[in-house]
Amino acid sequence: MRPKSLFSAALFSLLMTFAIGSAQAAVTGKALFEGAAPAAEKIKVDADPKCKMMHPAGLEASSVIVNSNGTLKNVFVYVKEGAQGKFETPKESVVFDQVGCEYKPKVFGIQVNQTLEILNSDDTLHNVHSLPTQSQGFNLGMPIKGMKLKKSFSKPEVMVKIKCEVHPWMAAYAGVLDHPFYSVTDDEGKFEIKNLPPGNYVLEAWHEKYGAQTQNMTVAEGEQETSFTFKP
Amino acid sequence: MAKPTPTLYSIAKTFMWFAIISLLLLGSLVAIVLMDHSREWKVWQKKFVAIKTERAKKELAEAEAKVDKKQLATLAERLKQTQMERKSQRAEMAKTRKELEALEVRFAQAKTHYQDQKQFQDSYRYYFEEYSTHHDPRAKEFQKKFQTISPKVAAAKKEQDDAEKLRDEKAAQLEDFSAKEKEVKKEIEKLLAEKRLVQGKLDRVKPTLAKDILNAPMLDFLKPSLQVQQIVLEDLYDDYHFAKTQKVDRCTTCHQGIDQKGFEDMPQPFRTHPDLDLYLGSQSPHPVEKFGCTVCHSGSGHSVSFTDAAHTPSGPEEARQWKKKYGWHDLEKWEQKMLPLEHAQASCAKCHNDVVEVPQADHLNEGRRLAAKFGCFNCHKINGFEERWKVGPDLTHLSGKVDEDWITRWLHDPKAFRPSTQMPQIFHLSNHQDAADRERDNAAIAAITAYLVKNSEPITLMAAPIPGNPEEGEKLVKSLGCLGCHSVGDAKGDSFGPELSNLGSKVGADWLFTWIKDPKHYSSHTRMPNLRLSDPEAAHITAYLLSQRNESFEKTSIPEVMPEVVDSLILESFQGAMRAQEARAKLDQMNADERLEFLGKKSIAHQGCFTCHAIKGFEDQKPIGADLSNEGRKDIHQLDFGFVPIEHSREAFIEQKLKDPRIFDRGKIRSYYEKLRMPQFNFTDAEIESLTTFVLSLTEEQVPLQMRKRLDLKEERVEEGRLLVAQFNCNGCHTFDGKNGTLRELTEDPGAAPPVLDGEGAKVQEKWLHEFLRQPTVIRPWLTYRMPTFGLNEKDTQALVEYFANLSHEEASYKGHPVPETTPEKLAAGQTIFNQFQCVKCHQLDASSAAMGASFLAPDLSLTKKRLKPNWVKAWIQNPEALQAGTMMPSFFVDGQTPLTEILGGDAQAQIEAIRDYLYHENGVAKA
Amino acid sequence: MIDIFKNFVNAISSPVVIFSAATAVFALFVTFPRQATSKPVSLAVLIGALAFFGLGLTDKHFRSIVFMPDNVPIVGLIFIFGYFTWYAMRKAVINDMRVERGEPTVEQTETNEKVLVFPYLIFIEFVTALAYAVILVLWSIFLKAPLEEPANPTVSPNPSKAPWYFLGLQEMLVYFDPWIAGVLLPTLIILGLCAIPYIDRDPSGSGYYSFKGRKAVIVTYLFGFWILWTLLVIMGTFLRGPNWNFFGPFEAWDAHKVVPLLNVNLSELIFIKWLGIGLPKQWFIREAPGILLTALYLAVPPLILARTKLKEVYKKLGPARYQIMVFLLLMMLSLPIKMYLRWAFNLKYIVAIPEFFFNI
Repeated sequence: MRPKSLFSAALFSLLMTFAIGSAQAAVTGKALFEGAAPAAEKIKVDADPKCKMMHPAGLEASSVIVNSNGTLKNVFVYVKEGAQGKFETPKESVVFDQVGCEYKPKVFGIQVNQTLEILNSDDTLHNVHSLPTQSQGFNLGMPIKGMKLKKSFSKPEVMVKIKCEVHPWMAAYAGVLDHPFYSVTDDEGKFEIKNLPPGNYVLEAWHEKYGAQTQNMTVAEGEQETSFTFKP
Repeated sequence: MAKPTPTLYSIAKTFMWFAIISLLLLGSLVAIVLMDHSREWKVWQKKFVAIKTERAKKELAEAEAKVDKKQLATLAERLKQTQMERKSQRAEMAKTRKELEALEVRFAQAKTHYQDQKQFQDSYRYYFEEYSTHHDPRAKEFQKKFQTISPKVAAAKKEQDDAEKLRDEKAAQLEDFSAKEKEVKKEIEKLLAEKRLVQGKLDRVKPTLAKDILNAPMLDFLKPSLQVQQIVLEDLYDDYHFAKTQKVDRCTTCHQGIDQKGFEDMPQPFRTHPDLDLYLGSQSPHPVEKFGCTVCHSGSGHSVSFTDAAHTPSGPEEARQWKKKYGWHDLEKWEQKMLPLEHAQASCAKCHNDVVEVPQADHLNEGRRLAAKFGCFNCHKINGFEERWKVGPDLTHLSGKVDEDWITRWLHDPKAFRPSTQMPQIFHLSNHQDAADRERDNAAIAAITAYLVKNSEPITLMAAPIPGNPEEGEKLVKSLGCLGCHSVGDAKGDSFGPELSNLGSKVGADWLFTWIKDPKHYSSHTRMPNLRLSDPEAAHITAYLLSQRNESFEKTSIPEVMPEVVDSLILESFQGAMRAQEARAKLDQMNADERLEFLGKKSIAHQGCFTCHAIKGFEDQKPIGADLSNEGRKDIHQLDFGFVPIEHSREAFIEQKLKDPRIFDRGKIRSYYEKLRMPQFNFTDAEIESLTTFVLSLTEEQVPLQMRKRLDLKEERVEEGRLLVAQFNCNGCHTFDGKNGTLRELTEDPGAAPPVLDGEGAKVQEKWLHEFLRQPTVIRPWLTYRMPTFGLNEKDTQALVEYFANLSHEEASYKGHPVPETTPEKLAAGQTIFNQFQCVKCHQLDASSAAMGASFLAPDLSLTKKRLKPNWVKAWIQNPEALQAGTMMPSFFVDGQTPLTEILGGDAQAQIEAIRDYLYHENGVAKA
Repeated sequence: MIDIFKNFVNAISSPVVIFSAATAVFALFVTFPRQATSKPVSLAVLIGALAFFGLGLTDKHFRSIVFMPDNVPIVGLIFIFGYFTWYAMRKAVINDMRVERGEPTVEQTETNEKVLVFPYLIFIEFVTALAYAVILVLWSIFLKAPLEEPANPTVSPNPSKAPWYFLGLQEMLVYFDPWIAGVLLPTLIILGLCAIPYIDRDPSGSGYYSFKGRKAVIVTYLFGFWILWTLLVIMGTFLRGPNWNFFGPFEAWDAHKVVPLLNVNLSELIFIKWLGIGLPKQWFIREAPGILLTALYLAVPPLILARTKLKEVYKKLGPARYQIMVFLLLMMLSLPIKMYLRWAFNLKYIVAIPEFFFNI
């Protein structure tokens, strides 16, 4: 990029951060993992020849992913109590893909009535079977590579399991909320919840295998840091 | 001077007495009026009026708050303005009014003039016509008169019309002056509309002086605001000992809010009835105008006092409170007191006849289920329940199954062998506790054993060909589906069939092997189905089931029986039938064994064992229990409470009888054969409550046909099926018709569980279902559970097919469902789609896919042609979730759109049909 | 204490005790009228009766029977009848004492005084009528007519009692055949009452209270009225319970009470018990002793009495009236005689002819 535009972009984003950040707060942190990382199970994918072609050595079970820095990936952190007011349903969709015989992303958040765009990037029959208890579920067969379907959830629920009836190792989890204050820990175990109005909140961190933990927080203006620790 | 009149006694004193007594008389008259006037229900109605007034006042305040005050003020201003404008035009208005008056006068005059003229005209015409017809010379004269007056009449009419028109115009002009004012007033009204409405409501409801006067004694025949409310029910009757009168329910006199929403949190008697959509609401199946109250709750509907309405307290605590607060006392002389609230469902059976379960009557249904389970229908004759199956096992071949000692020990105390058994305790109960009766009981038990053994017909048994492995057997028991009816050891299953623990102490290996291979060989009417076990499977299961023993039961000592006791019992049984010498003679003819067998037969007849069990020699005997067909309305005086100090009500009697049937013999002197015979079932309190509701529901009260819930033909079929389902415990494995399958609930993986049968009638072809029920075949080979062969007769099999069909609102037809017509193009398209959708990923059967786990396999599609209905398959492919919620079959046509846009022009419906045709057609998947 | 008294009363209660005790009290009353109506005795009797009632009201069985709205008038009846009998006797005794002393009777002295009908008669009658009205109004308010269960044609109430005015007859049914107790005796009662003016034409003692002058007739009448009628009504109301069993005043009415009672006919007593041979087949032979006894009872006493005790009466009345009077008297006395025969010998019928439904 040209230096001039780079500079103005940086200045703009800085100003924007100040503009927004000055009125709101953000909560960042890490999901730490104590103890030894469990050995990842190997899953045979022989049943589906296409999957076998993509992963001849099989797949690693992805229910627990411990990052190299001792943090836990795919922890869903969100505001459990305290979010007040009505929040607009975002116009953007959340993209949910089936690629390499795995769901991507494995854990994600989505707002009530926000569109979930479901893709099949594999050349095999995939299935997306959601199992919510509060909203209407769906069970979609997606046999064609590249096909796209749109669905949404009508009521908040943490967490909705999504599984594939054709490939038993595939599982994903969706946290459906009626506000946008959520985040999923990444490869570094970091999460960030932005644009939080100051106030008292209860934060919860959920992991597929290690359960959920809550924390009470009083959020003032500016950035706050906190962390959750999971043990096996 | 006149002689003073002699006096007999002092008049003055008599005057005093007169005064006193007159005052007393006045007082007593006032007392009469007051006592007649002050009625209990008026107090309650006044309270309700107070409540409603409160609420209306609150609503008024709310409505008042809602009114936009600013708007109102503006409008008021405008109104004032318009009024002022009108006032300023007073002069013009007065002038217009005067003109209008003048025009009114003119019009009135014109009208009279016209009418006057017209009548002359009519008269002249009449005379003219008359005379001219009769050729009277006077006709001419009248003709002239008529002709003269006609134009005058026309002129008069015109004048009248003109005058009217002018008058109307002038009146409209006058109106105009106040038009604007009227408009503003209308807008104000609109603003205040709701408030006025609520105000009106408040005015109607609140107590006023006028209402109080109209409610006063002597005046309250005119238009009282407090009056008795009654519902006259034309089609329901009170049966007073053969005299039927129309029901008149006056409960709503005090229960003023019972059918109105909004009083749910009020104290009684104003509380709204629960579930207005089911009861009392005008849209409900039981609207209050057609059903009233007492048809369900019993009690004296036409009474208007708390005590006389026969309210029943919920317990002694409430009875005390009522006595204190309302002076309540038990209405001894009224037979049909109000049912206690927990037993209100007993009244459902009066109208909901001939159904297995009354919808939403859970207490009643539970009571019926318990009654069927514990064999009440076998021993007691109850109208409508006579055709029920015998709940006890067949004893005609008993010695092939168990040994004598086991029978004796079992009869002494069944629960010692199997605590969960349905078999009640027959002997050594509370009225047989003294030493002599204990001895007699022991003798009776030994005698029954002797009889059963002696009269047991021989049976051929098979031996297991290989030694069984108990671990294998345990695995099989837990995976074949035995738990759908039985609990075994630590594996909890259904409690429909007997618990299969400790069988090692009861039966022999050969018998058990033969039994599980073919139950009907031993007992032709058993409900246990045939699991089509192979010999090794049966051998393993036998070994497992026999591996557990009940040591303490086996070691129980068997009391010795004195021959004298046997003799005395036999002689006692002869007492009513013959004299002592003849009895002795008969006895002496029998040797010891014969005596024991004879006593056994007598005891079985006396105790009614044959009512639940099939026993040789008792095939045609009648049930021995009391006829309970009218127990819910039985005269209290006909119930023998004996010396037991319980409340004299039906509920108390039934509850006590179920708790300890023999207790009513307490304190009485009765011979052995005269004592009460009902066995002790050891029911829990909850079971007793449900059973009491059931017994209270047994009445012979005739509700007129038009008020009963009549079943149409379809519903009857469904009920026939439901009875079979209850008899054979289909819900032990399968979930359908509102019930969850026990085995399905126990299985974690829904794919490995017995299938859900909701919608089965719409899904499978009748012919196939019929065949399947006669001889089940494998549809889902990955299931370990095995659908057993029930060996139903033709009538029952057909009934089940019709049942499923009618549950899905379809007509059962054995004609078969023709393969749908199709085109080669469609067939080809179907094949393409079938391959594109990769249906075989799940619907396939070879070994490699087994590794994926049970939930990822689906039935063999080659079964489709014979098994499934084509319409159903089409609907299924379109939206599987709609037909079977939670199914693993995904939807390929999401929101009616197909992902394959090139095939058949992207038409989703055509594509679905193509797939379906491909499945059915012989060139497709279906193999002929 | 009270319980001992109650148990004692219950234990001694039986028809024979009550009947005999009442007869004894009656005998005392008519033998010693002056003492019986004297102030101390009268007060003692009144207080005693009230005390018994008051004591009885503490017992719930007594209360439930006595306070039944149907029975309250009968309680009143006891006191009212008793009062008026006592009042009449008192007046009679006073008159008799005055006559003994040679003074004119009360009525004679009163005859000379005359007062105006109005106000002395009318006014007080009016005030009394008002008082009655008040009593009736208050009674109707506080003692409501009972509303029992809907009538059940298959269940007869136990006990089935006749209205109070027929309870005397119903009690007689215990001792007599229904024909006798329900038809013959009531007819004779009515005919007898009608016949009194024609039998007894003696003007002495009329127009003023007197006992000495009319001892025989008063005693006869009071015996019939009090002992043979009112007492039976009282027994039927308060002391007869379910199955027409006898219950003491403080006993609970138990429909299951079983009292052993086996009554035998005279013919059975004579032929089976005494003579030891079987009952003769022909009814006239079988019932000959009974018929003979009855005939003798009706035929012999009149003849004997005419010559002995009732000689003057026979002379006064003449044979026809005498015969009628004695016959009526004998029929009246047949009731207590039969009652005692029943209690003493468990005698059912003196003459038992079931072939014609005729039993005495």
